[in-house]
Amino acid sequence: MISHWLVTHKDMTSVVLGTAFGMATRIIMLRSDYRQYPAYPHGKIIHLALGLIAGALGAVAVPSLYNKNYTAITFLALAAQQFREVRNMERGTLTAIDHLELVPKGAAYIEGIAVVFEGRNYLAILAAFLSSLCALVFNWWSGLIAGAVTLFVVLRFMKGKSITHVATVERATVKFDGPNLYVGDVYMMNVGLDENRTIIEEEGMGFILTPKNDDSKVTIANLGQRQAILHDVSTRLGVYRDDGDPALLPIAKLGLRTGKLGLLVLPREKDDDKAYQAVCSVPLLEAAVRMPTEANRKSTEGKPVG
Amino acid sequence: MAKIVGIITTDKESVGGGAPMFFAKDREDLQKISHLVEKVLDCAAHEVHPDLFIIVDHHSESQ
Repeated sequence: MISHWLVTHKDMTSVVLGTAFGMATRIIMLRSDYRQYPAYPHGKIIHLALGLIAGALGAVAVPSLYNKNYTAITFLALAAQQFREVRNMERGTLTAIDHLELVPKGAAYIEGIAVVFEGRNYLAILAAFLSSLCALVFNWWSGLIAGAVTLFVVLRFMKGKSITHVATVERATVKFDGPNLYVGDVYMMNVGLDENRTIIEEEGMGFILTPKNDDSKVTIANLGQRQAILHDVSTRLGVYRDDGDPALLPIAKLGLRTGKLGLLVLPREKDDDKAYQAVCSVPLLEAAVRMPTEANRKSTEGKPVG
Repeated sequence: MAKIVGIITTDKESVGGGAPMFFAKDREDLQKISHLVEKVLDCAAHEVHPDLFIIVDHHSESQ
């Protein structure tokens, strides 16, 4: 009975299936993790509503194109415009509250998050489009299969790379040489007050990030990536810091000669393993990844320099 | 660029120039004054040598 209805109402079936899978994709990708965003109900509702719209758009496009209604494609263009607005919205919100963070996210991290929010809507459209297409061209259960497959693909796609892909992370000692603070052998900063030196010696934790190759040297030298590391570690472990204590500053400095990155964090929770995990799982920012070796190889190919 | 917003020293002879200067009796007093000025101005105290501290405003870098 039901399967008969599904066969006779093919358009309807494909639209409903597509919308459902589009929405499901968005729900799966809407995480509220240690990045704490969107952690409040209204933030979630905005994205769920947009996910539903994205799913519906992707799903409706197929039957209308199938029935030679080509103007439907303009709706997709309109949708792209709308979702670009999502990126602006996310950027606006995050930038506005970033001043109030003890350890700010930084523009590069915010941009990364905003891009992800926009991109996930397109993935929802894609999931809806594919399952709707299969449901219309073949039959309803192939739509189901296509939807399920896209969900898996999307889940795989979601996992970005982390800092451990480009660098090895090691614990290092925090030590003072007079007023000069060193993490391992990387000079960090000059701390004047004895009081602050004691606090940093007691509470500070040091890490050394050694780049794995020449490309990653450039990546971890990026200021945005460094700020992202400091922010993430401070979010996960808390931070021993207050406004008006300018010397108690989690800081990342480059050992210029070696290209290693020294990291000083002042965690509330002094747990070696957790801190190590926190540093290791910092996401690699798209904005920070450079491939100088690739670029040099391509530009000199066939046209030797010199 | 960071800006020097204060100088604290125990040795009057070693300093001069445009920034506000504070003269401390001894090194303990130097720490005390530096502490106060650091918290009040929200600017970091840096040690040039044990008898001379500078208060540096790092906020102006981003403005």
